[in-house]
Amino acid sequence: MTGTHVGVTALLSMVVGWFVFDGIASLVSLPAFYAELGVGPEGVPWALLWSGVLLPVVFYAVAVVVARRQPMPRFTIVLITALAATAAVRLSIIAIATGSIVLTA
Amino acid sequence: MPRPPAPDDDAALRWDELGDPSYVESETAAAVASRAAANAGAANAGAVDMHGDGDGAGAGDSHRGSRSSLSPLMTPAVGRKSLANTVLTAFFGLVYVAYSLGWIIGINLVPLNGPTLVIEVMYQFSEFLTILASAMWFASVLSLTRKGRAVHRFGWLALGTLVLIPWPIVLGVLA
Repeated sequence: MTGTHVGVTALLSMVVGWFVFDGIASLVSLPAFYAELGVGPEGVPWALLWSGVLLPVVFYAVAVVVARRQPMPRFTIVLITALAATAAVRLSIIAIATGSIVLTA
Repeated sequence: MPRPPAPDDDAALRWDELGDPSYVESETAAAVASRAAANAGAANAGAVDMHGDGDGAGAGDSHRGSRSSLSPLMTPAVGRKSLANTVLTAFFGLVYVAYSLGWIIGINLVPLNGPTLVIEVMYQFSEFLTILASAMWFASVLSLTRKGRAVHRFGWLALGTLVLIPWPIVLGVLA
């Protein structure tokens, strides 16, 4: 990896940081919201919430490892692809999580 | 006393010594040899490939990299394999187009509103990335596996069809 590779990795990792921040925000706020609705901790989709925090980092790390020997344009495209896949999986997680709410109260 | 034969200075530059016990004839090497004979400009690349085959290391990158120049000389089996790869790639392309359409429709099924302007902008940016995801995955895999083995290409494409399933529309259809 050249210095440019490291620079692009650092630049695009800010978007990963936002995804992680959003995942943590959901991890904190959704259980509180469920509690307000009377849903206990057992009704909270913890696995989905945690995957929302961890998957952005995993996807990005895999992309960096896979594309580390590629020339700059391809390296950048692979990293952006990882971000795009993260965005898609995030929406899937939100769709599944909001569909899994169980109102017991 | 008979004089020994004059040393052939160009011997190391040729790989056509059929009497040499280390010489191994293969289909690809024969194809390269005939092409090299017909086209002096391609002789060097062909000789490199033949050398690789002789060493039993014909699957190297340099060998694969010159495959496209051999297409007129491919055996029918290689041609069928190439056609199968093209058809399978086209099939995956259709799946990814369907995924893109699924995400374009599915995004409206996930009501997301950011509490602040910055978060709202990031949500919109995220939805924009989501619409691009399928097309970018397909393009990236094709770009990175152009000279690689087919199993890598189809492995990554298959992984993409699992990762990028448009769950909002799938759940919407199921519900």
